[in-house]
Formats: sequence, structure tokens, C-alpha cells
Amino acid sequence: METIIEQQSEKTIIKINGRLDSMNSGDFEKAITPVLEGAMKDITLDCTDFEYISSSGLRLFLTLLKHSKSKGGKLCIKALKPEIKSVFDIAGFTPLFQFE
Amino acid sequence: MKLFYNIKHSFSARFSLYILILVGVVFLATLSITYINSYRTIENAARENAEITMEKTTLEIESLLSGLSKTVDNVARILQKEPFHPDSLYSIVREIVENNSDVIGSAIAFEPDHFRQKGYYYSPYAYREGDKVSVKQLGTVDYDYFTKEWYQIPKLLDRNYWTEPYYDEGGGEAVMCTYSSIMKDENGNFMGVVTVDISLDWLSNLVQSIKPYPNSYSFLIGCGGTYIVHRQKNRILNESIFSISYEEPDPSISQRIGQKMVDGETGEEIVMNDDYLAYIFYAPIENIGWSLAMVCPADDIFAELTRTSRTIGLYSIGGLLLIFVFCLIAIRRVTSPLKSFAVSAKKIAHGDFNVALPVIKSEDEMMELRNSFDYLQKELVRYMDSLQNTASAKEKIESELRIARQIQLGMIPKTFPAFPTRTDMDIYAILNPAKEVGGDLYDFYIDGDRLLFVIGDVSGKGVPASLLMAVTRSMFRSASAYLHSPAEIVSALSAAIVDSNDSNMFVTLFLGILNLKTGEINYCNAGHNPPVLLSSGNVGFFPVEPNIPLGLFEGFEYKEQNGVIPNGATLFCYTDGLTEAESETKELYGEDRLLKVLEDKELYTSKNQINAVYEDVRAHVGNADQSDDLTMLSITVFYKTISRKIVITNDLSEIETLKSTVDSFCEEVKISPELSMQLQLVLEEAVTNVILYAYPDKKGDIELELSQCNGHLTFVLSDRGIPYNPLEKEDPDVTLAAEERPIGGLGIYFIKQLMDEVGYNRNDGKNIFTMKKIQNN
Repeated sequence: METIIEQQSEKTIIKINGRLDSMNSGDFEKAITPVLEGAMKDITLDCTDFEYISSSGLRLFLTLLKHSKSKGGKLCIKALKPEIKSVFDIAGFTPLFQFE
Repeated sequence: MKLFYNIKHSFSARFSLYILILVGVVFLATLSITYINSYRTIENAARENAEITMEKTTLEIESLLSGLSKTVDNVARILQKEPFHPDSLYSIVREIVENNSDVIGSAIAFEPDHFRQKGYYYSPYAYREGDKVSVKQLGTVDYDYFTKEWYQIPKLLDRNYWTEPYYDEGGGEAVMCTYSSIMKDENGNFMGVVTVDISLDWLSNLVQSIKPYPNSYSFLIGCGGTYIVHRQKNRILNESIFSISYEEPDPSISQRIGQKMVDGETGEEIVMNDDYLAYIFYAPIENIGWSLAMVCPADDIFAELTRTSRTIGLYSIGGLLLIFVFCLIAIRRVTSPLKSFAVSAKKIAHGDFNVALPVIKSEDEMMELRNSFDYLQKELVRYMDSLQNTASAKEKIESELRIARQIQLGMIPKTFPAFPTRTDMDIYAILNPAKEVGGDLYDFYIDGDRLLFVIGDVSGKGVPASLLMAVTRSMFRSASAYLHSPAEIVSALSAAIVDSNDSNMFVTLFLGILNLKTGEINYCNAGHNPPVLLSSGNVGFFPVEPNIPLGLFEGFEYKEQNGVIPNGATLFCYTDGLTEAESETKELYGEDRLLKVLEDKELYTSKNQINAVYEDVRAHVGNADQSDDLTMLSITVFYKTISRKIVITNDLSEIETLKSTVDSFCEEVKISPELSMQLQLVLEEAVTNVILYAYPDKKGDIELELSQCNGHLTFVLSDRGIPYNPLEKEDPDVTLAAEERPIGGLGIYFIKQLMDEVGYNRNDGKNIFTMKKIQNN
């Protein structure tokens, strides 16, 4: 798994590549700590090369969403693959996030 | 409004009203009859009174007139017979006037030139002038009496004559009537007349004095209907009863009455006189041809009756009101205990059986009612006691039955998955007694690679059936332990049941021994419903020899059969409680419907197969009562499987191992990328859960077996960690908003959502978590 964080003028773009499972969710959590501690409120998760997510990954997606919302910002998920989207559907996450 | 409410809701008010109406009607009827009778009596009295009065008056008039006429007739007769000196006649007329106070004048008038010495006119005349009587010669050039009615008419008629009333101008100078008596000489020639005049004032006074009622009046008419006496003076001599009739709305009434009066009839009429009802009585005055009438207003005649009736009416109303009030009070007093009874009854209804009843001193129906109430109370107390006893007895029986049910269900294997670590088979069963306990049974156990199973149905239902069911099940276990052929086991069971079967019960059953390595099956059917085989898309009955039920008679040779259950096929066993389940319209569920519902159930886990059939039969039964015990047993065998088995430690880095294992397994069994990802997710969640929580602070092994056979995927995850059933964890609420979502709790939820069947067992110190999924490629 690889996490690339890009700070733009108005939002943070987090690009996630590969799988986000219980084994590497800790790495992802570390990677996004600056975002969670920062002041930027709008976040875009770029999932173009995102392959897999389990509940531990979803937990961190929810953490990011709560952070963004608490600051009055938006969290947007970009280019999510349909088979991963179905996991969001089962978890009831689809209405919570914005998808592009 | 209150009155209406009272009448509707109060017995006393209503009853009093009835009495009031009844008495009122009787009063009214009596009053009416009395009134009508009195009316007739008064009417008759009035009539008699009128007759008497009229008779008296006419008699008076007649006697006066006839007296006068006789006097004059006498004078006339004497003058005819005796010679007289003409001058002596003055004293005769004077005498007539002086002797008759009612006479205002008298004359003896002769034919012209009767006495040579007296000239053309000779008519000595006496008349009243104030208090004295004067005499004079009546006939002059100015008063040519030969043309007067009183002279001319008797002469023409040749008889004595009463004139109609007239005003005597130049003579008496008053309204009068004159009687003329004719005189003839010895040759019978007309000689002259002797007359008397009477004043109409006198008649008028006499007639008007007839006044039997305050507003009554009388009048007198002459021969032609002319008014002689009337209270309206201007009518006298000027109008007749016929002439005034034209001023009336209906002239015919007056004309009819007038005609009868003129004709000299006596009679009575009731007419509307002006604006009031009046009785008119009339009678003729004989000899003179007049008629007297008396008009009496009905109001006057019946004044007394009206007054009396009014008084009686007022007293009656007063009396009725008194009766009403009396009844109201009396009935209220008599029925007052009823209200107390109503209150008591309400309290009794609320369970206060010992409520005090109202005290009744009378010995009447109220006392009877009180006694009945008293009896009711005592009976209720007794009844409630007995009801309580019955209820507690029933409660006891029910509680015992509940325990019996638990014991019965405890005898049969009902923990599923029954063999969680075996991926070579899938078995599931349910037993639903129609009553607390039932006569259906199933049982199974594994001996090495052999699965021994039985399904059966004891005739009848309830406690007796359940006892035989328990016996049969126990004997199955014991007999199958030392007997290895199904027919032998069945024969042994039958013999044992025949031996101890005094109540002629019997048992149908299907017994099989299945080799889990090869799918070979030896079985024996004892009068039981043939199982259904679901194999390679086909659904049909498993071929069975019917034989006969157990317990019928000794020595029957049960035929044993054998066959092979294909890999991945399902043997679906059931009791007749399924095929004979009755709908509300008493229709049976039937074998056809069973086959139909099972048609597409081959690729179902055993549990889901049975649940699907159960739902279908529930829909068929609807609200009807379950008519029989219902049992289903489904066995699927997987003796040719593709499987992987890994043992990992409780370290998250092992997820990598898991991933590669799942990937290679999915590839081998050709699982779609989508399902493959779902399996990755499910297995990762399950394994992560065990890694994180099964072995707190120590190392431990985790076993995972992945197995596939004919589209059935089975995953068994086991560990020796602390006991933990993940299925007991409550599902997260996936409808909550982001802010309210707890972090975590989704893993088990994913597993439940994505798998077809999940199960947990704790066996031999192991947590065994089973997941099943049908692979729909």
C-alpha cells in the first residue's frame, strides 16, 4: 500500500494505491495523522489505484470524514471501483460520503 | 332537556308519565261525556223554557185580543137587534174605552147616510187624551173612513177583522191595530162596524219583556212578515223578515224561518245570527195570524255549562299534576334500592365480591332481588375459587409440558452446525411439534466416516406419542451401536416396540447409514414418506421399499436397500406433517408442492433449504392451526472437495499469508473477481478478529480450512483462544449519520451480510467459526 498526500491551496488530496487491510491500516493511519492534525478541511481521496478495503480501512475513512465535517468541510472520494463501492453500500457508508 | 333525559333514564319518571297519560285520558273521556250530556240537557231545558214562555205570551196576547173582540162583537150584535138612538152610541164607545185599559180608541162607524138626521158620515168615536177619555164624530170630509182598511176590508170580506198595524192619521194619531166587528140590518145588509184600537206600545212592552237570557230578544211579525214588534224601532212596519234577509250573508235562512212563521208553524232553528250562534224559537198567535219569535244566543244558554266545564278542567289539571308528583315520589321511593343494586353490581364486576348490599325491609320483589344478589355474590366467590384452582392446576400441567418439551428436544441433536469441522457434509434439521410435545423424531451421529441418521413419526400426537418417540430414539442409539445394517436395526426396533406396545401405536421411519467418503448409503424405510433427492439439477423421490411401520407385528422382514448419493447432492427427509400440512381451507400441502419448492434449492445450504420449505409451508397454512408435528432433515454430502488448510499465528502480518491462500484457492475453484474480493474481505475480517482478540498477550495458532464442492463453499476457522461467539455481537446501525457512527463493529456485520450461513461452536476448547457461501458463477 502507498499513500500520497498532496496539499493544494484549498484542499488536501490523499491518493491511496493498493490494498487497505487490517495489516497495513496502521501505516495508513500514521500517514494521515498530519491531515487529521492540520487545519485543512476539504479532503479528496483519490482511489484511482485503490484495490481493496476492509473494515479497518473503512474505520479510517470514517475518521477522515468526521474530521472534515467537524471543520465544516467536505470529503470527496474519487474514482472508487464498483466492487469496493459495494462494500461501502453494505456498510451503509455510501450516503455519508461524496463520490466523484 | 333535563326532563327528556329523566324520562329516558329514570324508571320512576317514565312510569309516572304513563300513569299521568292514562288518568288524563280517562279524565278527558269522562269530562267529554258529561259535557255532551249536560249540553243536551241544557238544550232541552232551554227548548222547554222557550215553549212555555212563548205559550204564555201568545196566550196572553190571544186572551186580550179575543176578550176585546168579544166585547166589540157583543156591542155589534146588540146594535143589530135592539133599536137605539144614534146619540146614545157616544156613551157606548166611551164605556168601551173606559172599561178596557189596553184600548186607546173605539168607534161605531155607519154606512153613508145611515141616519138621515146625522148626515153622510156618522161615527161616534171615543179615544184617550191623556188620562181622560174624549169623544168625537170621527168621519169628516178630511177623514173619509169608508176608504180605511179597518172599514173597507171587513165590509168586503163580510166578516170581523183585525187590521195590520198602521198609523192612524187624522184618527187616533198613533200606531195601532184595529178590530172591526160588522153590523147588519134585519135584511142582512151591511150597516157598519164597531171597532176597538189597541196601541202597539203595549204589545211591544209585553213582547220585549220576554227575556229568559241576558242577551236574548223577541220579535213579532204580522201576516205578511212585517215586523210588528222589534227591538229596532225603525224596522217596525217598515221592514219585513223577508226584506231584511237580503242584508244577510245567506238570505235563505231568514226566508225559510219567515215562511214557516207566516205559515203559522211552531218550531226552532239554530242559526248564525250576525256573528254568534243563536237558537230561534217561534210560535204563531192564533186568530190574528201573527207569529212570535224568540232569539237566544247559544253562549247565554250554555254560559253556566262553559263556566262549570272550565272550573272542572282546571281542577282536573291540578289533580293530574298531584297524581304525577305523587307517583314520581312513590315509585322513586319503591325503586330507590335499584340504584344501590346497580352500584353493588358494578363493584362486583370490578372484583369486590364482598360489597355490602342495600338493606331491604319489605318482603316484595326487591327482597327477592336482594336474595338473588346475595346468591350471586356467594356463587361468584365459589366460582372464582374453583377457577383459581383449575387455573393453577392447568398452569402446573403446562409447566410440566414445557419441561417435557425441553427434555424431548434435548434428546435430539439441535446444535448446528452439528459437525462444524467437517467440510465433507452439511446437515440441518428442525422438529416442530404441533403441541407442547410430539411424536416426530430425528437423530444422527457420526461413527468414523459413517453418518447414521433416522427420521420417524409415531402415530398420534401429544404426550403418548412423545413417550414412544423417546423410546424409539433411545433404541435407535443403542441398537445402532452394535448392529451395522439398517434392516437389522429397524427389525430390532420393531420387535422391541411390538413387545411393549399395549396401546397399538406404531412408528414410521427412514433409517440410513451414509458413507461420507464415498456417498454410498444403506437404508431401510419402514412405512415412512420417501425422502427427496436433489442432484445435478434434478429433484425426485429417493427410491424406497415401503415395508411396514414399526410395531405392527412381529417377524416382518424389512428389506434393506442401498445406493449412492452423488457428490454435492442433498437427501431431504421429512415427516407427513409437512406434506399433510393443512391450509385454512383444509387443503393439504402435498408432495407436488414440496418437489416444486425444492426445485431450485440444490444450491442452498441445508439450513437455508429447510428454512425456505418452512416459509413456504407456513404461507400455505396461513392462520390455520398446525395440524401435525413437522420435521425436516436435510443432508448434503461433499466427498470430493477442493480444499486448502492453513495454520497461522496471531499476528497481523499473517494477513498476507491469508491473502495469498485465498487468492490461489479462488483461482483454483474459479471464483469470480467480485466474489473473490468479498471472500478476501470476509476471511480477513474473521481472521483479524481472532488475531486481535483470541489470545490476549500470548501467541496462539489459528486454523483455517477453505473447501469447495459443487458450488458450495465452506470455511472453517478455529482457534484455542478464549471463548468468544462473534455472532452474539449486535449489528451496527448502518443508517446512522457520520457523526453518530461508532468507529468499528463492521467486520462481523460484513461476514453476516456476505455469507449465506454462519455458525459458531465451542467444541473441545476450540472456537469454531463456520461460514458457508454458495458460489453462483
